[in-house]
Amino acid sequence: MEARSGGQGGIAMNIIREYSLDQVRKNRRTSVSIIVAVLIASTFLCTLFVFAQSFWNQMVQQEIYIGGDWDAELMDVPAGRLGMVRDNAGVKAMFVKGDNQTAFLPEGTALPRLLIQNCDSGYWDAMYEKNMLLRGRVPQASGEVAVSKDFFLQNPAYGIGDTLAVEMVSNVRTHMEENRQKDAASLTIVGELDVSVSSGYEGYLAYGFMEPEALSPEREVAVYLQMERRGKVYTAVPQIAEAIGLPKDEYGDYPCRYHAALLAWHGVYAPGSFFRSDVPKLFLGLVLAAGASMAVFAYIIRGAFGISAKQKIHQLGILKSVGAGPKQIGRTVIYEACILSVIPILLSMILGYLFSFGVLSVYSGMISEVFGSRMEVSFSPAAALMAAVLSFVTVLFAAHGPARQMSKVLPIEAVRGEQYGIAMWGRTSKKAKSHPILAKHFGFLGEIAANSVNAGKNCTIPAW
Amino acid sequence: MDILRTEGLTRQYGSGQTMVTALDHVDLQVERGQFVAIIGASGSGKSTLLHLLGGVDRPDGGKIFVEDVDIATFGEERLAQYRRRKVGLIYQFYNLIPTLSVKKNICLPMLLDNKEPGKERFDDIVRTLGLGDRLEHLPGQLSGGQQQRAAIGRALIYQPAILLADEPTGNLDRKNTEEIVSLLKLSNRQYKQTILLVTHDENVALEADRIIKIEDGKIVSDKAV
Ligand SMILES: Nc1ncnc2c1ncn2[C@@H]1O[C@H](COP(=O)(O)OP(=O)(O)OP(=O)(O)O)[C@@H](O)[C@H]1O
Ligand SMILES: [Mg+2]
Repeated sequence: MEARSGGQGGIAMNIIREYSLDQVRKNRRTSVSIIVAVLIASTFLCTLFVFAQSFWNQMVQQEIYIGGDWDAELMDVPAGRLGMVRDNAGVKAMFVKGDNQTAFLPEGTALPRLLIQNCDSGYWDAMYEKNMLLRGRVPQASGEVAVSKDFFLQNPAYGIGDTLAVEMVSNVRTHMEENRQKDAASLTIVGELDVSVSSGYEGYLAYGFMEPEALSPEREVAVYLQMERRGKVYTAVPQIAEAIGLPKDEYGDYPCRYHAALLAWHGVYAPGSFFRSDVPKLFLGLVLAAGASMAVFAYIIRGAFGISAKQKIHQLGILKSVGAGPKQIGRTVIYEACILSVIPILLSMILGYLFSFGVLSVYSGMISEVFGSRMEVSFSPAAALMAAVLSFVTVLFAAHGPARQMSKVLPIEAVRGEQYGIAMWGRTSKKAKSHPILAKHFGFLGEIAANSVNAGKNCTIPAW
Repeated sequence: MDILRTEGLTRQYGSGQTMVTALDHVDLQVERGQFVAIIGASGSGKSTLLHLLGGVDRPDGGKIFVEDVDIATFGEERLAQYRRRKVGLIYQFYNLIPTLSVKKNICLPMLLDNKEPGKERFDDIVRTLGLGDRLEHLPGQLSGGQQQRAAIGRALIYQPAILLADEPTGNLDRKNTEEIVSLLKLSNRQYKQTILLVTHDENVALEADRIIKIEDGKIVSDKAV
């Protein structure tokens, strides 16, 4: 006998795939119900993920807004070793604050001095102080200061743009007060900041500008770090501290601090603090919500596939009896699932986004009155892709049950299914009628729901 | 060597009061290349026997040896392969796939194996079945007799060693019946195919080498023609 192997002539393409596609086209009603069910499920999942993503984004932005965009801080770093920090491979960016100075104000001010913290330009860009600017701008050159609002309140004679003749003292902790040397200097006020300090300090808070390179090498500053690999921050930073020769404190720790709140949103935790953070709980909540909705949707979609499979049971029986194996029979259901889920899943990405956009714009209008910041919808391809993948997993999971059932039926029983008018058939065709309330009040969707409810009931193929 | 042999083959339907014993400890041997006719009253168990031999049904007891291997012990996947390659089953009702063309319906067992029939053989079968101008039609567009012939084509296409035919000529007229029977006989002789054919038609039965009569699930007579 001459038999050619398939793949070359076209007819043998893939009969199972062709059969499934034909069935999808022919059983339009069932196909539409499956598509609608998948669309609802995947839109819900996509909305959930876009929501979660937007919420996450909002929380990260908020944390950066109020706490600054940094991962870790090294304290008391001599300015001479800043180069070593900057050149460290693990460090993405570094900003510096410190070189604190006290400026004694001219006669006639309510409090006698300005307490100045100097920051470099990177610091001004990344940190939160710029967000507290009420008027003017942040300092951009040395000799410029932004001053707390109390200063303007208590000394109405001064305004932005004024120059102050002061006597500057550098606060070097290791020196005694008496040793401090006073230098005459002039400061230009460029901005007003919404900051204040306890009146016990007898001075006004002010921020200045510095170039770290201009500092004398032994001056100690605070260094803020953004890491190349955030996940490694808790091990990398002590190593940097060690490498640049910072001394350990009495507990054996290096003088460093971490931006734990921001790190937590990125899933990075100090050893042992995982369970104390709220972020894992929120994440767990998301996983549970996604999991629960996937389970519910899988159940509904499974019903739809069950009906579809039962409609085809006679034909599947024929396929089996001429030699289709259980795997091939199962594949008819899986192919059907793939064909029917592509379009609704793609569509759900758009719908999910629009949906979140609508809801969030209302919601953020509400919270912006309370918090002063709007919650933006951030559409991330990753979130949409994640939702799409999970929707597809849901559909496959839902189709798996009916696929297995169908592959287990004896061929002759399946073939007889139609001819002998087995009870199952009577039941499947009367489905929508048996749930008049669902069907009447929820229309088409109600019918699908009713169908799935019924399909759930006779999920097991009766043994003849 | 017997190509087919059953030992105590039993099939029961239902349970308790309503239990029906469709086949009752049937022992049967069929030699390779034999053409066997099976006759018997309606409900006597003829179709049941064929379905068990064809691997589309499972016995409740007994053994079915095909070339000395008991197919009753086969797993699903192996049994499917047996159905695809070893036997051709022609149902009492045509049982075609309504969404596939006649051509694909006929080729189905080979397509499921990712193969295509040779052109000569395909043309030969189609010509004999008189379906040459109906190949691209769907089964629903064919008459009953034509559908039955397509189903016969499907059973013949893979040249199975065993052909099981359940009243294949039941819906055909005299002339068609004769053509089909001679096609089966040709197939039987040319390819040494073993044929078991259920029929109510005495003339068809007389074409066989051997006639088996079944009553109430038991073989009551078995004689050479
Ligand atoms: N699925 C089934 N459920 C219950 N009983 C069945 C089933 N299939 C067959 N039977 C019973 O088994 C017996 C044998 O049936 P079978 O179909 O083998 O008869 P047959 O000899 O082919 O009859 P016919 O000539 O009418 O086709 C009959 O009594 C029938 O009622
Ligand atoms: Mg019968």
